[in-house]
Order: sequence, then C-alpha cells, then structure tokens
Amino acid sequence: MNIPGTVGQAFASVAKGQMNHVISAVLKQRSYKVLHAADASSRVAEQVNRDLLFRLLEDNKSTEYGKKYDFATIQDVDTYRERVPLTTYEDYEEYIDRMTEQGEKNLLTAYPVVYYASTSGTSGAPKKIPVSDKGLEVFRNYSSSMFYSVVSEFYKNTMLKNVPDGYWLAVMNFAQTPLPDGTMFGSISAACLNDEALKAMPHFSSAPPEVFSCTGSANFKYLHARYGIAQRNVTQITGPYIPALLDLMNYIKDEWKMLVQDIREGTINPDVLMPDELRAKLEAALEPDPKRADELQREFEKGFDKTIMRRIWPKLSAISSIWAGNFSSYARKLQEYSGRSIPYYTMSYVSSEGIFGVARHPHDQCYVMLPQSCFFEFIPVNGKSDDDDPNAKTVLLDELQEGKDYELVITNQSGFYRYRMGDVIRVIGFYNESPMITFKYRKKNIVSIAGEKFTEDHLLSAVRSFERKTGINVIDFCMYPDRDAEPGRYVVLVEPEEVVPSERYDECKAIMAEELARASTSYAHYVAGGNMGEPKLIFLQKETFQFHREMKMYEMGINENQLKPVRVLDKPDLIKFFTLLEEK
Amino acid sequence: MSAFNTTIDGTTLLVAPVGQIDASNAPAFQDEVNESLAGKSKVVFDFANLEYISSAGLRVLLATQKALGAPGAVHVRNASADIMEVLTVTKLAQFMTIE
Repeated sequence: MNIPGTVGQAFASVAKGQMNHVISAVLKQRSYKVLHAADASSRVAEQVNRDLLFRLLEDNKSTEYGKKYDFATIQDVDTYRERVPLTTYEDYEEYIDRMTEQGEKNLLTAYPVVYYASTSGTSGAPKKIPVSDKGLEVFRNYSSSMFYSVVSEFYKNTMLKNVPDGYWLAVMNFAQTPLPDGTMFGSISAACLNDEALKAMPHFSSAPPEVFSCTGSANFKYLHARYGIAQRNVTQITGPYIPALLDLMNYIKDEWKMLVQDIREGTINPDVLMPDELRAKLEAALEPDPKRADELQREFEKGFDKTIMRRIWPKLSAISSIWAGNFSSYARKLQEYSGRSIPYYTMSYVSSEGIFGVARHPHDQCYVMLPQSCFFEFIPVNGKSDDDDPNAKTVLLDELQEGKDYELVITNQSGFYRYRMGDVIRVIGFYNESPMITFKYRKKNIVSIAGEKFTEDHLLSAVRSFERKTGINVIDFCMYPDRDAEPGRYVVLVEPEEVVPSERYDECKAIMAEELARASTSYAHYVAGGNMGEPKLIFLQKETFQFHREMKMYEMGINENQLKPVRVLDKPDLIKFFTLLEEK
Repeated sequence: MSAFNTTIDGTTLLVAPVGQIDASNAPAFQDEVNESLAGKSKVVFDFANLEYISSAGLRVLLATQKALGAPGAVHVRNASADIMEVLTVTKLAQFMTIE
C-alpha cells in the first residue's frame, strides 16, 4: 500500500507509535521479570552460586578440560579449588585456536559456543573470548534489560510516575566478522543483538538497524546524531561508556545546522563518509521533517545549556552508561547538557568474560553481584608482593568482608575456570546475600618504582582532590613511572578544561605532589625517604585525549565503545604521544 | 583570500594555514575545510607558514583523512621539523602522503 503525502506520513507515524507502545510494554515486562529474578537470587546468593558451580562441573565433565581435571569426581568447592588451577587467558589460547581454526568442539565447554567476544581497549591482536549459548543468555537478560524496571522504580518512588514509552538513542555499533569456523567475532554487546531484537529495533531505536550493523567505514557519530535528534520521543540515551555520549552531544553542538538541514530535507549529508550501499538504504527510507527541524532550530538557537537535552527530548528519562569512577569527569561534562535532574544509570559490571553485577538504582556507583551468572571466588588484596601468587588462596561469596578489596576470579558458563579477571573490587555492603561492590582498579595498571603499589584508584583520588583544591576542572588524566629520572618519579599528565596560566604551574605541581602522597601512604613513604623523586606534572593541550581516542579507533578499526580509559602509559610510543602534546 | 588560505584546483583542495592552529581556531579551520571538501579526492595541507599545531588541529587533519577515505589522500608539504615530529609520533603521518 502506498498512501501519498501527509496523510500517508500521519498513518505511518500512528502505526509506528502503536508498535513502539507494544515493544515498550514487552521490554518493560521483561525488565521487571529480570529485576525480580535478580532480587530473588540475591536472597540466596551463596546457594545459587554453589549450585551453578556444580551444574557447570556436571555438564562439562566430558570436555577435554573437564577430563583433564576430572570434574566428574569433584564433590565440593574445596576439591575444585585444590584441583583446578587459577588461570589466565594464556591458559586457554591453544584451546581457542583449535576451536576457531579447526572447529573442534567439547574442549572447554559442552555448551555450543555461539560467539567470540573481542576484548576491548588493548593494543595488539584482540583476544577471542568464547561465549556459549548459556553465557549469552545471561548477558542478554542482564546487560541492559534492567533499565525500565530500575528507572521506573526510581520515578515511581520520587515523582509518582512511570517511564514513558519512547525510543532509545543507542550509541553503539554491532559490527561482527566471521572466524574461520564460521562463528561470529565482535564486541559482547553486538552478540546480545539477536534476530528478535533486530526485528524490533525500528520500533524502539531512533536509528535503523543498518546503522548498527554497518561493517564499513562510516561517520557513526553523524548517524547517531542525525537519527537521534530527529526522534522527539527519545526516553533513554545509552552506550557502554559515557565518553561516547559526551562526544555525541559535542558533535550535535558543533554540527547542528547541518543536522537540522538534513532532517528538514530528509537527506543524509553528501559529505558524510559511509558505504554507498548504506547511504542508499537509509536515504530510501527518509522523509523530510520540516516540523521537527523547525523545533530543533528554535531550541538550538537558544543555546546549549544544561536544559538542551530536556528541550529537544522532552521525554528523556535516563542516561544509561558506565559513568562512575574513571569516567566521572565525562559525566560531569555531560551534565552541562543534561542538568542534574535526569538520572544517570551505570547499568552493569560487564566484560567479555561475563556479567558480574548490576546497578540496582540510578545514581548508584556500585553493583549488586549476580550469583547466577558466574561462580565467584575472590583473592584478598593486601598490597603485598604475593598478590600475584599463582596458588593464591581464594574466599567465597559468604566469606567477603565489607570494606575489603579483592581480586575477582570467575568460573563462567562459557568454558573459563577459576579465571583471574585482573580486576580489583571493593565490597561496600550487601544487598540481601549478594555483595555490593565497586570497581577499584585493574592489576595491570598498578605502578611501582621502589616497591610501592600505586593504583589507578589512587590516581583518581589524587586528581579529584587536585580539582577541588585548585579549582581546575580536569577532562582526563593519566600517568607513567619515569624510571630514567634519578631517583625514579611519577609523571602525571592532566588535560584541563581551560588552559592553566603558567604562573600557576608551581602551585599546581605542589598540590598534585601533596595529593599523590595523600592518596597512597606507601608512595608517600618512598618519596619522604628519598627513594623516589617529587612527581612531575604535565598539562596537556585541549582535546588531547579525544584526539588519542580518535587516532586509536582509526588505527585499529574499532569503535568508541571498545576503548577503555588510558590511565597508565605503559609503552614508550604512548608516553611520547602524550608528552609531545604538552601545553606550552 | 579565506582565513586558512583554501584554494581549489579541480578535485584537489589546497589549504595553507598561517601561524598556529589550536583549540581556539580549530573549529573554524574544520568548517573551512569541510565547506570545500565536497567532490574532492585529495587535500594538500601546505604548512610552510604554520608554526604550531595542537591536538585540536591534529583532529582536523584526522577528520579530513577519514572524510576522504582512501589512505594517503591527505598530503602534507613543507612541514617544519617540529610539526613533522608530531605527525610521526602520533602516527598521523602513516595515513598521509608526506611530500
């Protein structure tokens, strides 16, 4: 049926609205189901976690790995911990090569491996993390599904209203590539998008599915912005990491005239890079929307203040993205567009290897662990040199102590057993029986020159205090140990929001030295004893971190959501990159 | 003459900025390049009179390279030793044609 003109558009619009209502209802229903399941498992977390381990041992006793460690005869957790060693990715590499190159099965897991997730933010060849059908089911259930229930609960409790129906502005890319055995390889978020979700996508996503699955070079920022602002009824803006959302808003601010013109004319700007096939598909489906273009122009002309997101998306109910800790400076910048009344929801603690926890409330900076996802063990972190002991003793969920730090060890549903994640978490309390945790730092980001252990968490703490004391807003920051200096010292690199006058350099350097020492007493001890030198502070040029991210994406052919923050410069070329971009 | 000395020669865009490009003028630099980019297959940045380029300016070079698509479609000529070092260390030079 081809209904011409405005009547046709109105008809399509009503139909689209009804479908959005139906899809929103389904998503909300699913969201409450997942929330209830998470809450129920938290009440018996210890039992759920042990049951999961014994199911995994039983189901995988006939795999090559299961036979090697005789899973069939393991009757208790202590035997499991004694017999099966702690592992890292290197322990699985050979198995994974056989699985992906020769298509061998039943090596690590008896469950069908349906996907390989790429690790994010690392240089060199990305790791291939197997994801089984059962592992993927957990990802799909908990990675973003809790949005509606958690955010609705917040609105009901605070404003006696529900999250309205509407659309997601998702800053994501779901491109995947096939491996030799035919299994797809890509980001874990891409794996979560099944056929059912793809079909529903036009009814809940501001951008069409083709934008997310494009594998060629394209200006995705333009596409997310163009479709995002064209949709008035956006209720959620989401993306794995918050820097991508801030970039999007900065882009809209810079390019709104072009974007509005394209919305007015129903076009894709001819200068924007994208594959011809994608352009043709998108243009064929676009209609001019002068009414929305007029509205956007009016609002943009009023300026990009803290009300702009509310003005262009009146139904906007939450921003869902990992925003806490390392990313908090990006969240603060984004609040210059969103104001403080829109809740920021930090979603889940997730990696390619598994989903470990979910944020139970908007604004929370902590996660409630999910005992049905992985079997969890924890290595107590005491700051001593035996933290890397391959035979380190682990404790279980019910042995955790509030306020203590632990390295996370997982047995997942995709063939990794007693796998050291390298993440250090802090237990800050309990939600029923489930621990509530915050992410502290990655073990590989520990800096040591004289025997001290300085973590990214120490650095974050020092930078936050530095901001408070100097009044300088920091966009981003990193550090490296300068072992060529005599004695060795830390070099801290900071990108300020505004250029710092040179007459303030000495004051800033002194404050940073003070705050680094305050953040870590062991570091302070070595500096006071003369084993380490006073730190050097470098102010970076504006947009340095943004440029670094863009270069990395271009060089490695990855998207923004696969980049983790740079905190410790661990390679000479990386050190040179940043030090050369010092503000002078 | 435009602020950043852009001239067009067929399908080639020539840009010859003077002085310095930093966060204060990089958006205008980007706009001027973008305005003339349609239909071009090659952009030549002549840095004979450019003394300094900051991270914000480097982002414009990268954005231009991304917009053109083909590796080496952005040419840089007459860059000073300092600017050349920045292009090399940041790896931008790998994707450009250095004349």
